Amino acid sequence: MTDSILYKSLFIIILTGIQCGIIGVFIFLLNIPFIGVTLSHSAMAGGIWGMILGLPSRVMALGFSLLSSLFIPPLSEKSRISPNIAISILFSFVLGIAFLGMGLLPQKGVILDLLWGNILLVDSLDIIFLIFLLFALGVFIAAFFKELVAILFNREIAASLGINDRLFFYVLLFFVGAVITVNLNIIGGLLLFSLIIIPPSIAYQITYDIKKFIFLSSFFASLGGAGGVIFSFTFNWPVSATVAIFLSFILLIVYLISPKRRVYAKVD
Amino acid sequence: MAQGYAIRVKNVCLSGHGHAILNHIDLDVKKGEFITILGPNGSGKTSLLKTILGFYKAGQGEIFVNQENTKSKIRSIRKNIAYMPQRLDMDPYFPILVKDVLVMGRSGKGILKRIDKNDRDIIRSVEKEFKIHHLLNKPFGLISGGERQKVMLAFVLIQKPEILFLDEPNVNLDIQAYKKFLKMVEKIYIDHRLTVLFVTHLITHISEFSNRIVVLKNGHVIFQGQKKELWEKKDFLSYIYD
Ligand SMILES: Nc1ncnc2c1ncn2[C@@H]1O[C@H](COP(=O)(O)OP(=O)(O)OP(=O)(O)O)[C@@H](O)[C@H]1O
Ligand SMILES: [Mg+2]
Repeated sequence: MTDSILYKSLFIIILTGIQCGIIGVFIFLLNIPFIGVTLSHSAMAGGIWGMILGLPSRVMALGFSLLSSLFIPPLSEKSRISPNIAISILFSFVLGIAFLGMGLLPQKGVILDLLWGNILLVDSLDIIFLIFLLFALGVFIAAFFKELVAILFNREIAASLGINDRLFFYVLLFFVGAVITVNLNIIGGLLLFSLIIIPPSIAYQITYDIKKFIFLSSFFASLGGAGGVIFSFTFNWPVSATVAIFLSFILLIVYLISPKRRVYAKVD
Repeated sequence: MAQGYAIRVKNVCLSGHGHAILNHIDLDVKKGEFITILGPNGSGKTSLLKTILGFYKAGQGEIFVNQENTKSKIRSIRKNIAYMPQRLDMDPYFPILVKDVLVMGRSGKGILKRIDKNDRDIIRSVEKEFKIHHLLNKPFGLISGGERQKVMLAFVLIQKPEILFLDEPNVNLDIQAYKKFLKMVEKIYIDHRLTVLFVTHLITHISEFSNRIVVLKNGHVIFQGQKKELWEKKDFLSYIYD
């Protein structure tokens, strides 16, 4: 019984680790770490209003979060502000919506349970969702890798090559939003944040090669996730906390033995 | 060399934050011409290039590249122009190797089009022409300023453009390196039969190959002609720079 839960958890953490590792690279290179916090609070706002209006709150959470991820690129472009500021503006707005709803909601305890998922409670529909999303993300990256690299490198250069930079930028952020939203619902906030932020930071210590960077980020997200899950089952620790700490340790070790530091330490 | 105009700028005005950046600019560039755009800091040189590329929207006037209007055909137009920006706003630690920057030069050739043998042959021949093999596996952000200019010139050439925009490629280069760099630009201009718009703010950096010099000042074209005519102008230095 415990074994089957362990295997299921390992399977899920690897699925989600791969996709979080990939979009973590985008988040890292676009330098928009707060997108995770913002979208998770959008999901919360959506869920709360779902409860108030008697609509399915999980669907509302998903919809709300996806919708807000669509607002970030135009908000930042039209007003010529940095994406980070656009994300922060969105953050205060959705937090306002969430708090407004919270005031109207009689039983408050349910909010967190409902929105901050738990890897032990994942059902088969969630798994199908995860597999589908990973597949879609894989196809997107494989098909448009050269365009995506150009856009992440420099949007003006990408545009000067004749690439539709705006379209790709929007779709890229949409995928970031979708992966965050779906995974947030399944594995919860803490686990999600550690899986999108730490693995690219680890990969960054190791390579300057963009392909290896994406691969290593996914690899470490899965490895750290799986290692954390095994630890947590062995010692009966909470999963999210264990994974987050486990990943931080990997980062520390890799940082200390970083080949980048060895080669370029003398230069800079 | 194909006949006709590569670029026609007709009465273009551009403003930003309420003041004029370009004022009624008219500029015709024939195919195969080497044009030097000269002007002091802030005169609108970069803005002119960016307006032709459609990064800035002209408030008035029209621009044609190969007879196509930039308002409707901007993406196909951009595929024919290779642009080397004055500054590359990027994180020096961005994880990309020089060889992948060069591959990027072929990235705009079509959605869902893979980098194929033809692309690789083009890349390899430019690598050879520029003698940059030793740089290929280095992180792009960490090579020297001069090496970066060289790689960027390779990058624009790999695009196999008809038109080349070089915005102050002299930054980061010492005099020797600049002379070498200019030689390379001149060589690819001749070998690849390009149309070149070369922007600089230094009269000492004008190529002997320039068919024409266009002087910008405060967003106005104040002179168009041969280098000789410009030199003959009395007090031309203060004329341009004051
Ligand atoms: N996006 C913008 N919005 C508002 N004003 C701008 C913008 N870009 C440029 N300007 C202004 O337009 C003028 C021309 O700038 P531009 O960069 O074209 O000059 P330049 O000739 O390239 O100068 P330099 O030799 O310093 O590169 C400057 O006064 C600048 O402040
Ligand atoms: Mg300039």
